[in-house]
Amino acid sequence: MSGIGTSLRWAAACGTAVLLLVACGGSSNPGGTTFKGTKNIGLSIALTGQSALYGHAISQSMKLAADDINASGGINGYKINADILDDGTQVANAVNNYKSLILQDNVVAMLGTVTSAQCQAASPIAKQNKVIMIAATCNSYQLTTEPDLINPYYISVVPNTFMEGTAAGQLAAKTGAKKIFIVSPKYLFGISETNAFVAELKKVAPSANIINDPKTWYVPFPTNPRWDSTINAIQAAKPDLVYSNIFAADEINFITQALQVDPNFFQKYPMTTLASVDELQSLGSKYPLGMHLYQRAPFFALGNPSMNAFVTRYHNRYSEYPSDWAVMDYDAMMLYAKAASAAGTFDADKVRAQIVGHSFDSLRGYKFTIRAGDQQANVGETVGDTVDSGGKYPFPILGNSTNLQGDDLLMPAAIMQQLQAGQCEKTPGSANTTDFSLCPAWKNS
Amino acid sequence: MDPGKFLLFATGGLADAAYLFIVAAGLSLVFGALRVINMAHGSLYMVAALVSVIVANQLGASIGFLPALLAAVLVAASIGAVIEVTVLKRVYGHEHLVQLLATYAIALIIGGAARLIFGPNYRTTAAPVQGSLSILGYSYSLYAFVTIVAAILIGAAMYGLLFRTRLGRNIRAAVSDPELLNASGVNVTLLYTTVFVIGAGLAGLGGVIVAPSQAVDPTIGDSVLVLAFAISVIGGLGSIIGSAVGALMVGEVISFGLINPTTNSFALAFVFIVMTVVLTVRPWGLFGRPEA
Amino acid sequence: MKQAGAWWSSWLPSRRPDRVRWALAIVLLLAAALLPPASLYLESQGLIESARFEIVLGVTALILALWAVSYNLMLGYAGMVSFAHAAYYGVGAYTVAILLQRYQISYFAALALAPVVAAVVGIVTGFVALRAVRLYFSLLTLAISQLLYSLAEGWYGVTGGDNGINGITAPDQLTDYPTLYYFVAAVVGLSLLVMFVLTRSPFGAALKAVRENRERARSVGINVKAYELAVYTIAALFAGLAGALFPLVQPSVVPSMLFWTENATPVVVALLGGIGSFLGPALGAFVYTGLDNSLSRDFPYQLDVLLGAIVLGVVLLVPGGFASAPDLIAQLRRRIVGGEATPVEAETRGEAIRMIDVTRAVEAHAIPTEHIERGRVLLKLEGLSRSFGGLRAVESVDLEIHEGDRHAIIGPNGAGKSTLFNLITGRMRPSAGHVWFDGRDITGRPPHVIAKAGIGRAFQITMIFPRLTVLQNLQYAMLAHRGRTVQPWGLADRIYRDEATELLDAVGLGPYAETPAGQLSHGDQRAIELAISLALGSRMILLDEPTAGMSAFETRKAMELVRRIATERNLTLLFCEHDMSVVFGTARTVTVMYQGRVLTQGTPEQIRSDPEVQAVYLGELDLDEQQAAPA
Repeated sequence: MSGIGTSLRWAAACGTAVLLLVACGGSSNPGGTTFKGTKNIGLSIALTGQSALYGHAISQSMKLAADDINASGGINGYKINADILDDGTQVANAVNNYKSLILQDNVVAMLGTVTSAQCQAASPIAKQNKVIMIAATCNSYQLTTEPDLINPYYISVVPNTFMEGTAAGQLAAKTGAKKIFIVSPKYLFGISETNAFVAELKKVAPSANIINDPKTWYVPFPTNPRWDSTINAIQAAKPDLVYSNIFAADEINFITQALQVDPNFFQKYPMTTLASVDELQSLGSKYPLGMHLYQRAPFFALGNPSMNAFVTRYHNRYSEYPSDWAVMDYDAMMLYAKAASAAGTFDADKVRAQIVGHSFDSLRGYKFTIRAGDQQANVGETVGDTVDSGGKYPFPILGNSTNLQGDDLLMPAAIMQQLQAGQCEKTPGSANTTDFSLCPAWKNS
Repeated sequence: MDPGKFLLFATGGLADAAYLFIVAAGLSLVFGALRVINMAHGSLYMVAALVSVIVANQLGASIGFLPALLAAVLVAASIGAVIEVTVLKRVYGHEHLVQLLATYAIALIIGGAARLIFGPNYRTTAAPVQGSLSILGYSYSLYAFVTIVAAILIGAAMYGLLFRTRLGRNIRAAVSDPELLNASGVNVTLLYTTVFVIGAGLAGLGGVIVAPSQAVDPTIGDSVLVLAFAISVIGGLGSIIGSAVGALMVGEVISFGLINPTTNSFALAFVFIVMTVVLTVRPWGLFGRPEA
Repeated sequence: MKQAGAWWSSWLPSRRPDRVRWALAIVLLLAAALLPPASLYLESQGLIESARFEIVLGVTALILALWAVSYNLMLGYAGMVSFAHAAYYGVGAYTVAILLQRYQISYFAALALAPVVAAVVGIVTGFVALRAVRLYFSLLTLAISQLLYSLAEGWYGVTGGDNGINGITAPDQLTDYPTLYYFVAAVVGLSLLVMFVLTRSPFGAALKAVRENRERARSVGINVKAYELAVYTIAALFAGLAGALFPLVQPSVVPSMLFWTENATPVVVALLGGIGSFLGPALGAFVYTGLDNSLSRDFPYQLDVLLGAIVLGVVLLVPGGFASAPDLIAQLRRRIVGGEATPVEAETRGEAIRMIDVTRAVEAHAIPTEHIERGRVLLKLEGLSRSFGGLRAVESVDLEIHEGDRHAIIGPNGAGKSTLFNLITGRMRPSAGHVWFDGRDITGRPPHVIAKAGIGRAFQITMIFPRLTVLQNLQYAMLAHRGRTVQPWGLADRIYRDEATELLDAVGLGPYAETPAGQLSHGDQRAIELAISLALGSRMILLDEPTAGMSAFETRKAMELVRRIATERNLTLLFCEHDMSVVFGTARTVTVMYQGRVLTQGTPEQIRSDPEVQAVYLGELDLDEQQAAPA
């Protein structure tokens, strides 16, 4: 008697659990009367964890973009909903989020995650389910050229590590430094960009030397938040220039701790580093002056009507300045809106046909083209030295900045093709060892 | 390696060891006296760091540090007291798994609550002591020395507490001979709460000391907890000296290990190798006692 | 360290809730089996968004269930808390990933290899981890887990370092979701079946004995370390299998999977579902997956708080998890409906020893008989010594005990009697000297070896398996002692059942055969102690103060039994006692110890009248001749 009763009760509980499991699926927001319905564009981003600094701005920008799109009628008559999930900068969570967004929320497109490790894991899922994935943050070139990772639905609107490393190499060569110390995070992005830096440096400044052993170039990532060891190693080695592509929390910690050790640390040991408005905004006036930065889309260096308007709207809404990522993700959303509208459908193949080989407007003040082969946009990189903004902004900006052209930085097509054909790998089947400097085309150039 | 360089890296390791010691000592003390493994130790560290940064930024860096310190340690200690009274009292004497799970659950709750209350973003604050020294051609952060001195003072204070006061005597009795303690008429309930609060306070102190040097967010407790565990185990659960030696070892190994090309890849893993060896050969650690 | 009986006793299963649990298990299995068609149906009716997603969730839950049940093999059945289990899961996943991506081996081949690799890693690291016990064992597994994690993170060339290995695709045969689900369900189901058989087998019985009382397990002949290593390796194997299934739902394998905090997942899942039952963790896996999916999207921070609160709640209030629901509900009903306490709840009345039927006992099949040569030296101690620091507990003891003898060792407190017993049974190692048993040198051998040699021991403090039934206590002891516990199949509860029941009836424990031993009164537990030592003592029985805490009547009864059995079964008896009536009533030879040394030896009459002995005992014991019962 009690057996049956208990079983019934338990079955009811079970049923509730199942309902719970199912209840939070998708959103069916009827939206405004002019819309046919709602479509989701997904974003798995770091709202917590090491790169939370970026995720915050990216999600804000995406929402702003969605509102702008909806204000002009949506896409193909549908309202666009920014479906955002936190992945804590972790690969496993990113994968789960992608599965959830694609399978459960039926997103029509995804914006890329922050770290290359996450993009590397998520891209196959997007490919398998035929979902357009537009990367505006993660940028390792392997993501578009490594045979196992080639994904026809993956579009990149951010300069990839080849382009960035090349830009950084040119920047370093310009300083005339002879003794260079490298600090880089030990994962796909860091290794990829550092390789590009070293290769370009060898080309344009053959007399420059990297003075620390290659095995010590890379620090564990996500890392021990204490940088004493690296800071002391730099002091011990006394380089002319420090090259780094550490970012977000790591960059902030490094700079903070280095300044504690010596307020003139970056005058003694000038530094070329990757940065974004996020790091500048985060440290504010504490960010050292005279740093040689390379940035992807700093709004203050790319002034033009559409950018200025965007900055104003963004600042009014969120009381802060848009980061490089915010700019690029906005571009990404607009790219998708234009392509999908041109295609008249959300079908991935048809939308893709409107993307590859086409040109799009950018907040950065120029039009960029998505080239066939690696679906990489010929977007540029900004380089310059930090100077005081003269009260205009609560953080330093770049003085005598140069906006390098994307076309000058793009990976030569021959190299791209050889990479995709798997002719440049140290260990077959591993994105981690694909090195463009192993390509015959590179060696001959 | 020239003496200047050696001193540079040795001091760097010492600075790391300083805050690790403070955190590990708290963990070790709680385990030694209460036989409880506190998985929420890192959370208390994190909360204190967050509170200290917020208070310091509100009041301005120069005068803000002391009130920030007091507020942060007070908050950590209070949370510790609440944890001890509401949860730990029920799990004393039970299997270690029970305590592990209970304190792990608390760590989850504190972590989630911290994110809800403070938000997931980073905060930074300036060090209370700015400036740098130059020794033998290399620069040193003044704050690093302050940290080292602070750790020494705290270590000395712990020693004084344990060996020169009645409370300390009772705590040591709890570590080495709990049965005797029960029979001696001491208010054991109050003693246990006191010890846990001290442990929580130490975790908080560690967080406050470290906060000016790095970006603080709700995740910083996770990595420090593992290291604190390793150090406590190596030094001996219940031993302050053990924590000091363990912390020193970990700090120096990381400092020297990361810059050397041969050892670079496993400098961080080294601490676990030592932990494995110690647990296999001498489970109660270098300075601990076999569990009664 | 306190026995943790109190904390668990609330989920002790009794018969009726057991039946309910079986019913629930069947419901769970059916639900799992029907998930894909049910999802498709619900989708077609528009009740859920995506059947595909539900099925993927289901696969995730199945894998988690396998992982959690394998963890519970160690936790619930053997009482081991490991932090390295996630590492073996990771090893399984990495093995598949590397084989697939680097060497282009078929997925199914990789699936078969991965558990083997995990088992190898498991046995090697487990061997290291088991150098330590209990808490230190747990901490050691933590260290090992971190080492494996560092390896995965740092070995860039093989494991891909921090990126891990990506782009793993499921084999073509499994791209259809329902097919994938049933494949995984088959693998998981088969694994669960194997583990289930294991837990019910004599091997499983040995594990439970180890969990309940390690010391006792040793003394009934279980090589505790060997069994722990065995279950650790088996658990690692199945964790590796679960990990090998993982790439089917997730195309990437990352080092963070091996981080020690990842062990929280199987622990929480097992706890949620109930670690006291076999399928409990599987149930927990489904609940957890559902919960995680529903909440982690919209309320990630709240999820953490909620999860913490749930774990806390379970730990403090409902230690048995969901699987204990039947018991809790039954308890609640009883409380609401009122009525008297059932026999399973109240302590037993302590009448067992009074009910001893000596004749029946002597006839009991459980008690072994061996051929003996009367008069020959069976146990020989030579120069046996043991010191603790400066204290010499036992010093240069020479003793010969002849076969068939009934030999008592007496002496005031602190004379070294218990230490001597510990030295003989291997609980302690001597500082000097030798122990020979039946011609074999057993000096310093471990307790389980000595137990198997034919020495059965009853402890001074009751050492039983509290959460096992009285019958299981005896059965498992016999299984272990007779070397049957290496057998990983068969039903442990069936073997020796009749013999054990017979013996239990004979010692008055018949009515309590199905009662958890921990619920027996102290006196009744002594009866169990006695029964076990009788069943094991194939050559010699060692009784350490057997009648401690017994009334005069009980003492007489118990010793009558012991005497008769010793006589009729040709067993040698060695016991130490404070109760002189027992000594003089039972012993043929008496050895007196004082301050760690043998003072003198002789017949009871000789000892009684020895002035030296009287002096030693002056003021300590009353040598009341009226108490002496005839031999």
